[in-house]
Amino acid sequence: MSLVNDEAVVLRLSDFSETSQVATLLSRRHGKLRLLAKGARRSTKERFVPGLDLLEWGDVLYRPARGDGQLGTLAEWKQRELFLGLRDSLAAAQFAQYAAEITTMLVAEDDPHATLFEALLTLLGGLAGEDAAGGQRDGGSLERRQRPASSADTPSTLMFARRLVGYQQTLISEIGLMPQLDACVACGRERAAGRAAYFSPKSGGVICRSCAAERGDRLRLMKAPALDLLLRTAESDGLVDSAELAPVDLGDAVKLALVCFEFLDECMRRAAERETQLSAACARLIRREAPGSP
Amino acid sequence: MSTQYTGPLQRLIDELRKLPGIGARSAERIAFHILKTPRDSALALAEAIRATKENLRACARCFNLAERELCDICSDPRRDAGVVVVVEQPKDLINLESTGLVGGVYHVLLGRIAPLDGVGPADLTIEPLLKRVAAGGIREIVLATNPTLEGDSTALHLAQRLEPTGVRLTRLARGLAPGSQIEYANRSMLEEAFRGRQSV
Repeated sequence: MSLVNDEAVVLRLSDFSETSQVATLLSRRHGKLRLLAKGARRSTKERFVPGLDLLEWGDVLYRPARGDGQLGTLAEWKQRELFLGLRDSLAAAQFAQYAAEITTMLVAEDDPHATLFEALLTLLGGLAGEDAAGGQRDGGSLERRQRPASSADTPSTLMFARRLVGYQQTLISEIGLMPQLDACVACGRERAAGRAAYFSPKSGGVICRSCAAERGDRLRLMKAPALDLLLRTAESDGLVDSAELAPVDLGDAVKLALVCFEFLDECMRRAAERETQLSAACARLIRREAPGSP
Repeated sequence: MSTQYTGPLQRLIDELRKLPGIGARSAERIAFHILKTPRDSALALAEAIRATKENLRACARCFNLAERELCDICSDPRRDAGVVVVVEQPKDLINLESTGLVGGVYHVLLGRIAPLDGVGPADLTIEPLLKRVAAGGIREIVLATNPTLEGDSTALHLAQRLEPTGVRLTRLARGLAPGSQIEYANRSMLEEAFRGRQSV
């Protein structure tokens, strides 16, 4: 089978043998790939191998798998960007790994999502404190750097959380599981902006009060700011200007980000029918941004 | 269908096949080599395996491999106990020791924070490290975790936990490896090398 080239981000690495690894990648044109990277963990006298790293972006040349459930083979990897800024903030690293986890969990193999790939690069660039196209970074990665904040008095973790929510939303839309938030899933009646609504995870959307009474679904009350924010983000492909979304009060901003994160996280876990490793840690990091939290 | 050898030989092949990097053919070759080897040499191998499993333990102070309560490095009075080099695995310690440059002592984390694999700070030997620092006498901690996303995140986590102690925290330098060529170096290696450039 002939070699295929693409660009990709490393989502997951697991050891296959003493010297080889299985790399799960999200590629721009071929979707999720699982490739055997032979010798990826071994440097020889003739060849120094820096190895693949998580969330690295690069150009990949690979031999596709011969059949379902088989591994393809990584023939060549050329790094484009390591997103070094992710290593300067625990929140950035955790959020980025969470993004990798949900992407691995929900995207099927060989199902291309160019928009999602672009959104992942944007997220990683944003978390690393640079633009996704590899913009200029400030120097000194060995010393911890002061991350440039997008908004003068907004903590960086909160800014990161908003970016993460945008990515969650792009992912869930791309795989066709975005819940219906603008109208009742049962009767179709439109939800007025600024109104709270019940959300039914089982039915996959908001449900009006009268329909809610007739159904036995487990319901979750979603307040208006979170619903409005999720709708606005959905309408703009997850790329809403973060300043527009920031309530004046920091505590409210944290609550809003947390509600949106947990809501989308629950939708994804429900879709995948499995738990994630990093949801709780990410929620904890967001919660910690609230004024007065330890 | 694979050939079945007589009882003990097949058992030996099956056990050898469980070792990393050993396939069916290699296992067979090693097993026949052991079969042909004089009895004393073969039993010395068996004894070495037994002794490794039964006599080795984690050093009570640094979690390196040790035969006694403390490892050879921790019990060496010539070592500078004021400088602690923190590594992920005992294999990293051995490699650093081979440079002959580390005059201090070590602390082995026994892993790195890898949330995607379900490994958190509580699974590592971070608390014993904090206790070592709290006991006093440490001037510098060298964070020598791997320069991967997980290794760097582990170093960042340690730096945050250790910052209040006031101990000097350092990280291994990085960039181009001697013997490598700029033409083939990746972007991040060059970035790190350029940032860490030194006066000549």
